[in-house]
Amino acid sequence: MSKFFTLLSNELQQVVRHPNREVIPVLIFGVLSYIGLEFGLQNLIPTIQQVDTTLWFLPGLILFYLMFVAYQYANAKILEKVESGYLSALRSNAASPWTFVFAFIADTLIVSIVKALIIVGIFAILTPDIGGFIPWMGILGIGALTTVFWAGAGIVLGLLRKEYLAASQIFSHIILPLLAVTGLLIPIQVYPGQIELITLLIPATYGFELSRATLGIVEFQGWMLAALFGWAIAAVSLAVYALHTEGRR
Amino acid sequence: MEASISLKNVSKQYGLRKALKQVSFGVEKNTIFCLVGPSGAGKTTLLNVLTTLVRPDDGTIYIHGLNLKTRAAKIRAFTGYVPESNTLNPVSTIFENLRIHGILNGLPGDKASTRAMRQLDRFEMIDHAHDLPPELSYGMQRRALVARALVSQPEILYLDEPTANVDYPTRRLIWKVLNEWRDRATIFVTSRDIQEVEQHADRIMILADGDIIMDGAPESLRTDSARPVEYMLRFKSENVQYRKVLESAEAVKALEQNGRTFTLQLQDGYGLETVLRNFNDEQIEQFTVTKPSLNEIIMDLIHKKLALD
Repeated sequence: MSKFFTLLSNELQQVVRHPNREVIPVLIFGVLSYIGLEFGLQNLIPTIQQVDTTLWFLPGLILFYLMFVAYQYANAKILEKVESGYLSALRSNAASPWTFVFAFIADTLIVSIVKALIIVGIFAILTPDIGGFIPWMGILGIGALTTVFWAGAGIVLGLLRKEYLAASQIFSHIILPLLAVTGLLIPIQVYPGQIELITLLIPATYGFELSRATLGIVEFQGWMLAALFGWAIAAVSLAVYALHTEGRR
Repeated sequence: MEASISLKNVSKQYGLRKALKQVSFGVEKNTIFCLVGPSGAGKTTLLNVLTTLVRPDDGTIYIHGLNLKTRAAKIRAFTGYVPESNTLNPVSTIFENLRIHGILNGLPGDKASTRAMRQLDRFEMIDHAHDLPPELSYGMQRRALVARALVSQPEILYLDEPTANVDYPTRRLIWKVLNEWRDRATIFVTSRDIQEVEQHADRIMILADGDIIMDGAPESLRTDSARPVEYMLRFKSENVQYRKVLESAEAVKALEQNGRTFTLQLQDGYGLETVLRNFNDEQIEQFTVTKPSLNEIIMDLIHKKLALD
């Protein structure tokens, strides 16, 4: 465990040494999102399915933010290590690839969840009702599982395609359009049967649906939690495999 | 002597290029083993294979009796690696870079800290312990890389061109530490600097185009070399008779003249005295023996190998 915690603290020290670099963009994102939802969308569409529009979109927004931040952060950090050669120095040590991947993902998880908490905090301060403390803890738990999946995906992509452009292109051309059919904007039940089936093949769907279920907006389905858990384990395992076979493929 | 590293028929191919071609050799414990060869010879590939960073296509490797293929993690715990490029974590201090390396190789935190400071002291870097790698000169970064590899006190230390392009004090310090470390570990170094290799190595292996072309102690490489010893003989004045005498001498195998200076190669079993006895002291201004340098021997071998291919 000491290897894991040493690696994790080593990873986190970048954020600790430059807190403003991480916190200021989050504050900007939080305030702009609040203005957009509360003064823009809320005025246009006050409620969706009898639910306050801000409350309807906020869990999805937080989940989407976590997805994006986790994927980008994990991908950029692994690419930094590949480029500086530090990854090969780490790999020449006795620690197992599991230790490295767990530490990298834990780093991403802590940084991403803290950022999400700041955004939720902004809404909690400025909005009269965002659904209560306990449901939001549940949403952040689901967010954590989502983060693990996307951090794993970021690491895998970084190891397989060692270029920053690949990660951003995959995000903007594949992942971003997929969000249209994942329940971020529209409940998946609205789609025709075949399309709904496609939505269920996308890991992001489960996060959005479960986060709304936590607030009691849609019905909670246990198998979705199991599916999200499965996706997270699969992504971590794949990241370990990619690291283990790095330089041997 | 007991083998520390043993390779049999190890091959590695990148695309169409064969980086290693059925390489087999062994390295004895507690020796400084130097791998020499031109750029692209396969030295770094071989090191990457030995440090488990790259998997060979074929062949077997045993490190201290453990199969590299099945016991890679165990082997990594007692080996250290200094790569050719700077692989220090740029966002951690030098001390942190060394300490984490110790912990990842199984040392408790306090012991890793103590050893990190000891290595920094050994490499005269205590004042730079809390600097970030990009703030240091290239030579200091190289020192830190070697120091990092020594924190876990490895039984086998691999170094890829550790003194390439570094200042003289750093070069001297690195070799001083490696020579001290020889009693504790097997040291496997790649280098292009033949002079320093000749000075420090117990054994030299020459690799060219993925093949081993020569292997042995520095002196045996000289002895086995096909390149002959040359003798330079300079007379006080030019005289056509001198050439005639030299040409007719039984000992002289080859002769080149440049004014009053002659370069000679002698038949096996003859010394220069057999030639000199044909002249008196008044006639000769100077004579010298020119042994081929190890660099010349190695370059000859490499050129011969590349020409054959």
